[in-house]
Amino acid sequence: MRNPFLANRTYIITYLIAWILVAGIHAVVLWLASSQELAVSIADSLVFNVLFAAIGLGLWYSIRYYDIRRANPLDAFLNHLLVALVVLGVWLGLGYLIMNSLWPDNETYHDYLDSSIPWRAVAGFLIYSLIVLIYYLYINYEDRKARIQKESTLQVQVREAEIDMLKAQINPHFLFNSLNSVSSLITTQPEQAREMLVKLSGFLRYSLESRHNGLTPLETEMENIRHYLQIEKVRFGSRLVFEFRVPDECLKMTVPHMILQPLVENSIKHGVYESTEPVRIELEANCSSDNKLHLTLVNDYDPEAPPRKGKGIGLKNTRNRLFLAYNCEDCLTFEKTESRFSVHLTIPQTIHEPKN
Amino acid sequence: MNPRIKTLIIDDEEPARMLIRSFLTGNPDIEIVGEAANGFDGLKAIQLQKPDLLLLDIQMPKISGFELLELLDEYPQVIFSTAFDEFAIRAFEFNAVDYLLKPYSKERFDQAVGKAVERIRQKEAPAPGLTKLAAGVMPEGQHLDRIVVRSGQKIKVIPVDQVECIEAEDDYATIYTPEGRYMKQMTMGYFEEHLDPAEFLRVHRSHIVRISRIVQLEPYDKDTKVLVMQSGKKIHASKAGMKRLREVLGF
Repeated sequence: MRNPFLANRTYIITYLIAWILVAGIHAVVLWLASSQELAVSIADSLVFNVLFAAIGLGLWYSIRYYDIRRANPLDAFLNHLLVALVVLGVWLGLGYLIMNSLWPDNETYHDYLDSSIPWRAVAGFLIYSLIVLIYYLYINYEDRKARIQKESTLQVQVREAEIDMLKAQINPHFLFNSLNSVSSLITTQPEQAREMLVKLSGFLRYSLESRHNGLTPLETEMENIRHYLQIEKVRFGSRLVFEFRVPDECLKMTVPHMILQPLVENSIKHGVYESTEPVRIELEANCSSDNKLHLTLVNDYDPEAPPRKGKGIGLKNTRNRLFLAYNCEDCLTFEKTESRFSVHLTIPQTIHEPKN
Repeated sequence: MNPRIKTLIIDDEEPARMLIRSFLTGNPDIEIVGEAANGFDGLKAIQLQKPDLLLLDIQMPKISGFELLELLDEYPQVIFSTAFDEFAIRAFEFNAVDYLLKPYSKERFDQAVGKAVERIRQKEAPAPGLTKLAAGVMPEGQHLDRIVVRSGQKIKVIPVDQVECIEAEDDYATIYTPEGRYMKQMTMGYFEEHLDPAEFLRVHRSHIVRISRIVQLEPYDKDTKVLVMQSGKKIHASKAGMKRLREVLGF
């Protein structure tokens, strides 16, 4: 940030006018009230006020580069007091030397100058405080402005992210293809059609639950994935085989709501969609060791199938969600072998509290 | 009485095939000659059965419905049946009879089949090959990511990343990759429209090249040049082609 007084022409002019006023009053008071010579009065006023005006501009840097966020109030106060003493010392010392060398023989003025030092120090301190105050007001104002702007962009981003998440959760093609299957089953296998509608409704209800950032027991999340896979199983028949290997003691552990669904959907998309052979999807859980839940999702894929576009978005989003929830960089890892793709999730059971 | 229309169903989901079958049952104009669960089997069935009408899904393993049609020298009337609405525009390239969005009603389905029957009965010219169509449109921001070719009974899926250049020869395009060259009955215009313009450039009436695989430019005559590709292949760039290349590469 630039010195606010130099930031634009209006501010510079305002600053100068303020000093001209101060200097004018200073000279007049000196001339009339202390009965100094006019020339001496004007010189005294010019020397001391021009000096302070210059120092005042420099003060900005002592404020700008002193990080007040990291200091406690006492430190900040002492720091300013120290700067004030140095500034006043330099100002008075320089002014004194200049005026003495200009009028080495004017005894009346010398006596006056000596006796006025304490008063000058007090006035200087007040002006110093005023300038610092203006600087702080300015910084505060700019910060607020920036924060308001940032907040509104953040709000837009959050909303977009929410919409993206909803879209990612319910793939419209999944929905329409499933409804088409129901339409097909209604006449031939009405029992199975009803079953499928119930599962589809269960899946949709779970997906739409508005606790996107909340935690869910693994048991519930798995139930939902099972519904999803059973629906897909009706569409793909023998091309889809799935198996869950989850020990009972893991069932009560928590996972972020809907964390598995995009990954399972990826398995279907890159595995089942592209293969004419049966594709096996396996979900394995392990929670015996470090009070963390380890989940591994493995699927076969056809190595000959050319890579599909859009690969990696599901993985990236899931990794981001885990990072935001648990502050861990490596909560999601994946590996790809000749014909199998596996994703490994590590889910801590103590949630990371974001700092404010 | 008119002969019944030979109809083939190609969809990778069994319930979807069942639905079409049940909708077609009882239609006196239609004879179902077979079903296929993927593009490969579909191609075989088409060559074997020579159907008049295809009910075709788009999203299928191995090769898509569009890619299947591209492999045929001439193809029957087609009704697309898919859950993806974003492909409707491409379907027009194939002069499709209709484009059904799953799930659809019996009425909507019958209407589509009725149109197809009419076309076939009136011996309306079989759907013109892609080569004769004006260049089509891909969905906004989407480009081909693979090209499917056929030699005899073998089907090869070439990822577009591997294509170095494409050369026109009569009705055919020859696609050059590090692994070999493949022929496909397709126009340069089609490739020009459907490949990513950030990666491919038409440098000549009969040449499209992958820009990143050009290694050298050699003078040819006053206005034109010869491009040397990474594989060593040399390609003649026309005056207009050189102008486009200069714009892209900024020299």
